[in-house]
Amino acid sequence: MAKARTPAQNGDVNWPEVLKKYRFSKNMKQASLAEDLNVTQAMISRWESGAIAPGRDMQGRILAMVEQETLATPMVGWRQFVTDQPAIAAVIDPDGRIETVSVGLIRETGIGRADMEGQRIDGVFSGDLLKLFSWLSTIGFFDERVETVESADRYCIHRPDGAEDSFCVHNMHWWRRGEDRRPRWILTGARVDEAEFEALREEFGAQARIMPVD
Amino acid sequence: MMDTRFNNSEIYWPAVVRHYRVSAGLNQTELANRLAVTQTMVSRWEAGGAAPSRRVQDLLFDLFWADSATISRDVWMQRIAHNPCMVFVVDAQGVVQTASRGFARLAGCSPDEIAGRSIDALFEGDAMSLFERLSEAGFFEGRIAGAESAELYIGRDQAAGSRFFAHGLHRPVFMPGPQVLWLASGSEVTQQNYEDVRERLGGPSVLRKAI
Repeated sequence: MAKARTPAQNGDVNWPEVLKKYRFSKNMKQASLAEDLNVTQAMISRWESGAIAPGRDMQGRILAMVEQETLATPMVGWRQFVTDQPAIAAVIDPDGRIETVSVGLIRETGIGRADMEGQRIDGVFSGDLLKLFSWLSTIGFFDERVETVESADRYCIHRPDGAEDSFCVHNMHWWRRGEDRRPRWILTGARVDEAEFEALREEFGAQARIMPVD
Repeated sequence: MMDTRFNNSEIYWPAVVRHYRVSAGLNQTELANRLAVTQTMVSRWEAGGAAPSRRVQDLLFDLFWADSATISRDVWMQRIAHNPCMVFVVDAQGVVQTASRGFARLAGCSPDEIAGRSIDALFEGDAMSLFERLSEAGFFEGRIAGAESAELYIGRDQAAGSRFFAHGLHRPVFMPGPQVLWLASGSEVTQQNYEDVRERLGGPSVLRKAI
């Protein structure tokens, strides 16, 4: 019985068929596919006519594109959405344990996922974030009494290799109930420069404030 | 110029119903019970044999909302406007409904100068291509579960600072109407990060279809 060809064995892939099928399924013009693959439209035309085959590197990109494109997925849950965030984001439990960190937080801190998740925040950060955590507890954030908080914080981080670093972040915080119905602190933020940091502190009149309702 | 073919996105109910049901881990009978209809009806919606009534459409979108957020849509929109990160919400016509403070900061203007304008009028290049790509894939019809991308934003009429690389994450938001809005969230990144993301994605963006 003939088996469907798996893209892994791409020595004899029918490139005209793969490209056209993909393009037609997306209702795309050759020009927009060319743009996506960063080649000329004439090149797409030659691949599709079978005049030439894509180069080796390009073959990998095309297959990755075709495979990923056809992947159907369920809606991602909120925790996965935090994990995938390109911005700074984290989920922290009421005891100050970091449960989930985002791609952005890993990128900005240079600390790996395994070295943050499961740690208490004071094991990774010092200074402003710890002050913020105790202030949030004081104002009843973890008792669901406050909806949204914003803050300007200087992140002081301890890398596992002993290196220290610090940078300024404009943060926004809210809570949502976790899988066990206990509230979780959802931290999100973007890095800002010193001048913006000072301006935010001035605007808030403090490190943090409860977000005003419009 | 905005292309008019994007201007009449109808919700594709087979995808939306199935997407919600599978995401919530329900079988057809369970979903039918939640919506107070028969299992046969759910089956017909998913097969495209019939579209849900207006009452059920709204109910379905409310269920979607309740599963992903614990706050009202109004509070959520307001929170987006204050968000320090890059966040914006765009409708099927490519018009920005809400832009975050963080996004405005990157674009070098105020959130009010972005909201109500079309992506096309605001930025050159990648942003509009991404919108077109999402639109053509049926994002605003509810056919897409999510997407990831790397873009270069170039402001059309802002100061020199409004040119930045970004790494974005995109998902549909189900709003009354019923309409599907595009929620883009992300971060400014270095050119190196941008290139790394594109390399990993095998292109400027990867779209994931709704089940």
